[in-house]
Amino acid sequence: MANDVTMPQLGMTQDSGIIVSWAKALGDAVKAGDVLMEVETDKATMEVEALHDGFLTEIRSPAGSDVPVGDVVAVISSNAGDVVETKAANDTPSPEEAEPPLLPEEEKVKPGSQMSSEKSPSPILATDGKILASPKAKLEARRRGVNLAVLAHKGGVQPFHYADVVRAEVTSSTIGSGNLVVSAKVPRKSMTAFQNWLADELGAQLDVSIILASFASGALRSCGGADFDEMLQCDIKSASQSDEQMSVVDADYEGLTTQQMVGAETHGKLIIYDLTKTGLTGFSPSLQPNQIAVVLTVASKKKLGLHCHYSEPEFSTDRALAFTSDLAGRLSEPLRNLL
Amino acid sequence: MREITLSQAVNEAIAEEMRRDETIFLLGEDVAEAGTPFKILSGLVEEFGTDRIIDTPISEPGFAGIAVGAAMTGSRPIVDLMFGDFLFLVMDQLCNQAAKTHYMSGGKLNVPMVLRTNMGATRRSAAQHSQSLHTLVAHIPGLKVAMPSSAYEAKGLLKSAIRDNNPVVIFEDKLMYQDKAEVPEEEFLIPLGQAHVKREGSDITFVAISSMVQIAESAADMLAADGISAEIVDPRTIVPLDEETILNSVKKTSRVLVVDEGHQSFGVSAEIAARVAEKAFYYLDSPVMRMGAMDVPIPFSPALEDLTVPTAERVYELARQAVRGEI
Repeated sequence: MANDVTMPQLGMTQDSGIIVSWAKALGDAVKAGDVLMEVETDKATMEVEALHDGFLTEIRSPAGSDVPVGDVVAVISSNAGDVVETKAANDTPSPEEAEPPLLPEEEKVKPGSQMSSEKSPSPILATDGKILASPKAKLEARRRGVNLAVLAHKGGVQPFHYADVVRAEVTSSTIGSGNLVVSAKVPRKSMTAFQNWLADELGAQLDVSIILASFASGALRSCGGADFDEMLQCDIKSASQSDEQMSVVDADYEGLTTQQMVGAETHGKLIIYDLTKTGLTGFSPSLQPNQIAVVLTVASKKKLGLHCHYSEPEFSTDRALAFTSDLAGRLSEPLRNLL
Repeated sequence: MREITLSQAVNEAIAEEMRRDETIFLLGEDVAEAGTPFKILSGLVEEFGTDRIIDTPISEPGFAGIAVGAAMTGSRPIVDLMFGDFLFLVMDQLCNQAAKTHYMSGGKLNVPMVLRTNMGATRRSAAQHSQSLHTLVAHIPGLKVAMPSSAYEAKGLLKSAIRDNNPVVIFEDKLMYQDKAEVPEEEFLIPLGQAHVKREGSDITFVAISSMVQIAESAADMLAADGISAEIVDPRTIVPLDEETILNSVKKTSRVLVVDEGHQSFGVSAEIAARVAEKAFYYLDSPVMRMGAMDVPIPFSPALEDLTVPTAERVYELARQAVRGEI
């Protein structure tokens, strides 16, 4: 619970007041009735008392400032941890500041997870670590590819509104560097059934990412033509441990149970991200030109989300569409891959 | 164009319709020679006689029941209910009988009656003569509910209500009876269920009902001085509700404040707010807001009464905060 402290009207004709001094410092405990600040009007200087118990968590108008009646000059919050250094919160980060690590789609960030270990400096924060934004702001962020988590990380004031997203687009457009994406949904049960069948028939519990690597390699080769006749390396990554990389080569030529995981120095043409064991619903990986990333997520109770990230002109949109629908077909009817 | 008062507009609408259709008659307390306490119906008994402008005893359930029966059997009665607060007395006739007869007779019977009554506080009439009770009837399927916001709406909506084959309740704000507006001399109707965009704007939508349109207009003027552009949508009827016009406006402005003089809790404003939240969610850039009368009996004390209902200043303040992203 936070209460705004506004510039009081101390005289009939007064329309602003000068804050002579603050009787309390930032972070101090405050009781209703305590003298909070001294205000000078055209007629007199008066002491202004606090109206609420709590902690002085924000001073918006430093001593010496002339403030219109009714404007918020400070905030008294019941939570001492809400202290806001106003200057820091309002400063835009300088361009040479290092970009923060790429963060996933804002809603699914779980407190304590590796992805959100950076504490946001925003003054209004939901206690569960959710990022607060209006529905329109969220929709626009998605449309423009603005990552609200990054915005929060940079100190944007929440809740975010539409205008914040529009303003932020320029600064965050470098993130995800203009990847294009094609998405599809596939029934979840076909994959589960296929995995169970494999376990029964072969006694092998195969990871989804291995199956996905095999299918994606096949799909890429079938729609990529002669471009992919040579060796096709597929990197398997997990979103949370980006430094660990395992690769499979020509996964579609091998049997599913005989895939050899190799450590690879180079970047593969394909990257697989299996996010189905996380709550994440989207992820925009950074790609080398020529690379294609396949991201698998849980879209709903019954559907998996399949997202193919690519960049033009190395990979055309027509090819991306063909590749994604081919792969979606394979995931919907996995057994057909074995025929 | 000529300007007439809301009171004159109602009088004209009734007179024109009664000349057009002989099955129309009007009944209620003090409606004939007295012309109602608000002098709305003056002159009608002289033209149409006491067979068609009928003074009744002080018995609201009785004359409301007469109207329901007459409507079932071919007449088109207009019931004059002196104060909206007396709705509580006619609830059974209105909600159990009039509203359900068409449905329960399998469509064999219609109840083409109109119940004209009023609403609105700040007339120093105390708690039992100041309520705005349109929510109560809007909740009952089978009733239409019209809320004119000026003399123009009062005439056009009342004429449509009289011609409608369903029971229609029309609430006139008693503070607006002497307010003038442009009303064409020639005949016109305003269809039930068609909202009106009273003012176009881009930053916030006010959905304002009845006299709250005036409040919204004052607030919009104040906001304009701050460089904020408010759009005002007047639903004109709350049943049927022109959802499309409201949603289109909210989709354009991304913000909405519903202003209604009924008590804020569980009211028409809550219903409209809920529909916006359901159907325009992804267009919203600030929380859906509403402002109604405080949830207290309307006080007799003038100072207190003025505080209980929405004011232009409060609408302005809330809207300004929303547009600045402070909510």
